[in-house]
Formats: sequence, structure tokens, C-alpha cells
Amino acid sequence: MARNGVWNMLKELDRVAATTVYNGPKRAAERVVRELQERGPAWTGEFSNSWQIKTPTTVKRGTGAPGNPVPIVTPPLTGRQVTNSIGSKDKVVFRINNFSSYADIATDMAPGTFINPGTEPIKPFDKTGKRQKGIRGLLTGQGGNRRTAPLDWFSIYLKAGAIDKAIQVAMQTR
Amino acid sequence: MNYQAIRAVFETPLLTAYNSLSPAVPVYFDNVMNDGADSAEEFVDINIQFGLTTESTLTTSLDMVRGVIIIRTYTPKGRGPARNQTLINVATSALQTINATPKPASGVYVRTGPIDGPAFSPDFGGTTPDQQSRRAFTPFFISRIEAGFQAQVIS
Repeated sequence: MARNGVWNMLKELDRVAATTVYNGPKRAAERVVRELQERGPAWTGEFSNSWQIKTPTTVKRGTGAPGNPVPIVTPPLTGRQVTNSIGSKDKVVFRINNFSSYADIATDMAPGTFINPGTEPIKPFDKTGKRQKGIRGLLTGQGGNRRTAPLDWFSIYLKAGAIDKAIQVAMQTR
Repeated sequence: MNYQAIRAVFETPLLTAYNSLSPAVPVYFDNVMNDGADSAEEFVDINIQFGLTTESTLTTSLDMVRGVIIIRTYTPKGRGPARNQTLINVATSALQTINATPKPASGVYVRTGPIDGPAFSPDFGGTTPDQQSRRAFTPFFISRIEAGFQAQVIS
């Protein structure tokens, strides 16, 4: 009994260590990417599938291919793996970025040129109107331009609290 | 919750600051038709969006809103960055003034986070050559700053 108790406690410690240091942030990163895919623009789906998560041990990339967004899942680690791979580091960094060549245009950071690809978007339109000054989401008045995500959707997600909420929920999930 | 009052905290000083320039620079807010932009040489776009309206984990007050303000200034391309930087600096100064305003006894109390930027575009510096084909050939040089904010309505 005592041996089983110690064994179970060690297993639990292993799980808690992994969850605290690695698997919590891992879940948070995966959730953030999922929400970015949901909130961001999607016409062919290439941009939505171009997110990647760089963990302390590996890089998990989206396919970058057209089609419905596919969630990115990074492999979980045990407490021992966490200790071996990142135990000596003073911080554990998860980096999320989009490797699409037009990521700055899709996030409304820079103006771009837009052509109709000849296919309908995989996501419903958010708004139609006349595009102003090449900014993807800046549509006003009447016009035939269309967008599938609001103007500055990325900044809103990062700065207006949604990402904090996503991380909070993911870190509290066991 | 009074979203309009929160907007006013940002919009009023920014509008005043740009109107007091000589010549005055047009400012376009959300849901305002930018009908003069094709002929105007310089103008400003301001986008204010709200995120979370309640944040009970941080405070017991439910009148606590988080949001983001994004300001873009447009000036003619090919004439250097000076004028654009002058215009974006007006916005930066206005935001810093808002941020330094003491908490009132009633009304709206706002604090912004760090001001990101300014970022300038289009960037033809060659750092991203594969994007050239998607670059916009607009006649404008554009700068952009953004800041998250937290607003509290005090009654």
C-alpha cells in the first residue's frame, strides 16, 4: 500500500510539474491559435493554416494549404521530459506566429492589393463596401469589396482582453 | 455601461488636436464615411474597439471595459516621413495626455497600455521581397500606432 501510495504520488507530481511548467502554456498556445483562426480572415484558408507554435522543444507548423482551418496541436510532455529538456531554463517561451507572406496585410498592419481569386470564401462575409487605401478591413459606404474579418481584428484580439481570457481559461483547465 | 462616453474620452482630444493644426487635418472615426479621402492629401483614421466589458477577476466593478485604439495617419508618398511623423506624434501626445489625466470623481477614467508603433508602410525596403507583388500601390505613406486601454465608468 505504502509503495503504491508513493508511486501514485510521484506520478501525480510528474503530472503536476508537467502541467504547471509546460502543458498549461501549451494548451493556452493551442487555444490562442484556434481563436486566431476563428477570428481572422479566411478566403482560401491559406492564412488560417499558416499559424505556427514554437515550443521550447519543437516547432509545430500549420499546413499553409487552402481549406478549412486545422487546429495546431503540440505534443504533451511528461514531468521528466520537461525536467530534461527545459528544466535548466529560467523561462519557458511559447512563440506564435504566422508564416504567410502576406500576414501583415491580413492583420491590417500594411496595405495590400486585392484580387478576386474566383472562388467564394470559406468563411461568411463580415462586411461589404469600398476598400479604403488598400487596408484589408477598411471598408466604407457602398461597394463590391468584401472582408471576412473586422478591421484590426488581430489588434483587438491582442490588446482588448480576448487573449488574456483565452490564456486564463486554458491554464485553469486540467 | 456608457460606451459613447468612453469613445468621447479619446475622440474629443484627438479631434481637437488635429483641428488645431494649420491647416486642420480631417479625422475619420468608426462608421463615418471617408468621402473626401480620394482627393485629400492627408488625413487620419481612428478605430476604437471594445473587447471585454466585464472583468470581475480584477475588480468587483462591472463597469470596467477593455478595448483598443488604433490610429492611422496618411500623408503623400515619396516626400519623406517628416510630415507623417509630425501627424502621428499629435496622436501620441494626445494619448499620453489622456493617460496622465487624474481619476475624476465621476465620469470616465481611462488608462492606456503601451503605445505600439509607429509602424510605417508601405515598406519597400527589400526585407520582404516575396511580398512585393501584393503590396498596395496607394499614393499614401501610412503610419499606425495602437494601444490597449481600460476604462472605468464612475457614477
